[in-house]
Amino acid sequence: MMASASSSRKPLVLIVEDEFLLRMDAMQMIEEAGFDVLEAATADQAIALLEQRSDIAVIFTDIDLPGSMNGLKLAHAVRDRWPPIRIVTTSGHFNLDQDKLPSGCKFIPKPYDFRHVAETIRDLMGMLTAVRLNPHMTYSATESVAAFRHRTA
Amino acid sequence: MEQELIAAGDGLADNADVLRSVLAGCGDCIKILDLQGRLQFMSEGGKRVMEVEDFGKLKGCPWPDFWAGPGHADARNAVATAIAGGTGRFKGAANTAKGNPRHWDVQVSPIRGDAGQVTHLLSISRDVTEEWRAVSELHDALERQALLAGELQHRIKNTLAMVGAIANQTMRGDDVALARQAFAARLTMLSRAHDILTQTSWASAPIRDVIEGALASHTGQDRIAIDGPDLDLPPRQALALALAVHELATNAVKYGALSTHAGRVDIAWNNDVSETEPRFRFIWTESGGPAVKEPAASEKGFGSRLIERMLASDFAGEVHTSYRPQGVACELRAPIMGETTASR
Repeated sequence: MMASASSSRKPLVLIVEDEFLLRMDAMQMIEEAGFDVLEAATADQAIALLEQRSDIAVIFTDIDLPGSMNGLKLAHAVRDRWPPIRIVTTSGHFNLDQDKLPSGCKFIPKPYDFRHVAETIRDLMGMLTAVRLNPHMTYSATESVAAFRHRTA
Repeated sequence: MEQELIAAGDGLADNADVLRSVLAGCGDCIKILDLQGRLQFMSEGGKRVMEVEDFGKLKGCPWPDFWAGPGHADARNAVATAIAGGTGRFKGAANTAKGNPRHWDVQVSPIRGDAGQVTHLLSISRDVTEEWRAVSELHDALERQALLAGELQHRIKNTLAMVGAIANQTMRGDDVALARQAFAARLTMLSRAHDILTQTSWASAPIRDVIEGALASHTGQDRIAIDGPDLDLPPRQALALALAVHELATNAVKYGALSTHAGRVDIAWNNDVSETEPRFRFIWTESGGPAVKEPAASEKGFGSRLIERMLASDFAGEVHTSYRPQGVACELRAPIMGETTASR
């Protein structure tokens, strides 16, 4: 169910989740919220996709991924290697130390409401666009979201 | 104290045997040190608990040297405190003369001469090994409990997220009554799969139990044949197979072989070692039901996606569904699954 990102101008969200049901649900819900979606079941698959394509705008990743690289390491790798990509993380662990997340990275606890996920992604996209328009100006989150909505309306 | 002994009975005051009896009977290790902290005397009870057979070998040795680690400094400090006229206290570990580890609650206090000057030190060590062990076991138990609580919390959150996803996917379309029924059936099946996994503390689940559990609430079970070797599935594959079998059975009862009295279902699996690369195969075959036609892509719902994509994803294999006129067949081919070790 990989969406054809090239044919549209919707922001492309890479969803990284090892639990199939949650990944499938997230794909569908985030797609319905107006984004293009890509999926990966592991951090390695996610890195491979990030290396292949340059149009990924946001990564939405579970923290608790199996294998050598969990979502936390993935988030840091993305921040280091692809700084423009916005990062949203999620986890069922209540005691996650959010200080360990890279700066500017959002955290949403599981189980989550997709409206919240979509809103968070839009916020991050809004900030990114605003900063790119005028790097010397600082925007509050609300202002930048409003600006983003105005431009994309 | 003199007065109290006189009051207690005749012949007690100034009777050295009182002191001797106390020292022999007391279970604590009572020692007298000189002002250099060297052992000069040890009570009979003390030799017992310290497992000392020949005090001659210990007499004159610096007492703090019997303590290893932080206890050594604690013992030196306690000696210094007692020489200065105070009482030094600490808890520490030291071996008995025979090398058996013990934990001690220690107190060192001054013994004064006639002029009030400190002439010797009194050291009393009480064996608190049992208490120490109980406390450290309690500490370990609490740590384990915290770890389990964290793990349980994580599992619950994940299960809630899965239930949320199933709800999201089931509650589509306008027929609320139908969706409610489908949702309840999926939850029941998920719950049953959890029961099976809980029996092995989430280590693995026997494939036959997983399949039978997923079929339990469906009608027409007398027309379902199950055949395959005993295999243990890891939790993820067990859940995926349970969900898929449930959806296959739901479809069979609604539209397929189990929707009539004549049809039947054959479920089979094995680890196929005949090819160069051994493969796990799981096959669901329907026959004898109404004529089958392939549903349009738009008609394929959550159930079909679960069957095809979840099985393929979680078994890291391929799923092929064929809509043969005589009945639906669904085959999974995946890397080999572990043979069960338990005899059944």
